[in-house]
Amino acid sequence: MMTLKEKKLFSKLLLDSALLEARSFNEEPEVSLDHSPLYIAKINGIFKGENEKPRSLKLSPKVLLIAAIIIALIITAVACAPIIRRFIVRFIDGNYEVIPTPEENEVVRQRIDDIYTLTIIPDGFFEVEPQPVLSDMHTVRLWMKGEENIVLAQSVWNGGAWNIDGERTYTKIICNGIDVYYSEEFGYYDVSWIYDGYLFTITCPSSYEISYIERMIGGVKIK
Amino acid sequence: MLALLLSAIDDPNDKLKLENIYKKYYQMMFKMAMKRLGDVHYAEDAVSNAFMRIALSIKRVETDNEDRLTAFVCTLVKNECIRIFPEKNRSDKLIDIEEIRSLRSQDDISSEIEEKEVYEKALFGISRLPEEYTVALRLYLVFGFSYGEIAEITDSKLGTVKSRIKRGIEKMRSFLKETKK
Repeated sequence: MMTLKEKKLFSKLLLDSALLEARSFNEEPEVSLDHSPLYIAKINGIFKGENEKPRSLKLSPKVLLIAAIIIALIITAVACAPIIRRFIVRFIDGNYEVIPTPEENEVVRQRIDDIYTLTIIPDGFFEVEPQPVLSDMHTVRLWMKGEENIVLAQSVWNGGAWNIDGERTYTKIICNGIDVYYSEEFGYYDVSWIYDGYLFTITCPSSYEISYIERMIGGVKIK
Repeated sequence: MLALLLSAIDDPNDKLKLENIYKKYYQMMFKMAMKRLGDVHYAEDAVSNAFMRIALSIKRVETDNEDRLTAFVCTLVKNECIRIFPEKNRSDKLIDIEEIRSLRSQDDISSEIEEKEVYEKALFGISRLPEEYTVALRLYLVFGFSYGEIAEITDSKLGTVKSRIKRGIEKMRSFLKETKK
């Protein structure tokens, strides 16, 4: 804490030091400068009351760090635009709509041209055949082992939004460069992705590791 | 906020005050900035920024006290020079003891200080303070700006301003103590 006397003394010393400094320029020759248009505009602006805050030429490390983070985010967003866009979901009537990426919309179909099947299946499962083709838009294939079953559903993907159950929690994984969404309920995984103009869904027991499911997805081939 | 402050210079008296300050101190401001920065463009930046600060504080600028006004303008230019080019100011010349004596004889400003030797040495000591300290101390002790206002003017953090003022006061105390020995 400063005493009043101290404050008075220090104020006087500081004021005098400023005066000394100012007066030291009295002897300097007069400045005669042709000012830049920017300076003239700035000074006129101040008089008109329309100028801006004094700008600082000094960029603090904090500002530089924030700028670097923003630039990195922009670059990442541009580079990963489809992934970012993938997270844009709309909540409608209890269901989420996942907006497809441009890659997923590259191929759209009006009917099933090729029927896909699982080429990697856990031991003991056998395919129940024949499964009737539901329509030229949807097919379902079924594998069973006792009371457990594995289902591969294949539907025509004709663009637009992708509905997923709003009450479930979905996790996204990237499998062979494709966005795959899965959720778990009642001891079963529901795994969906879009490829080659089709929306695929595998339903299989959740006793299997996700890494194994990923292998199954990789093994989905044209029959 | 700034737009609000600037639009507040609608008062014709304030505008007149501002114009008079500019006319009166333009030369001093430029000489000071040129001497310190050595470049016309930097000097223009420093002067225009300092002048902007004056405009923002126009309501509290005391034009009837010439010494205080001169000191205020000088401090703001100094501050802008530090902000623009900090390293240019480190080797700023020390105030000559003869200049201190000439100032005393002109204004008798040391009348409240009992010992003129102490006063001269203390003033000499102030010229050795880091410039950022001097600016913060002047704005705080002489012109009554708050820590927050000083942080805004000097483009520094609030904590930095507080510490500059605290350390500056401690250094001034030690100058006085030394000179009284």
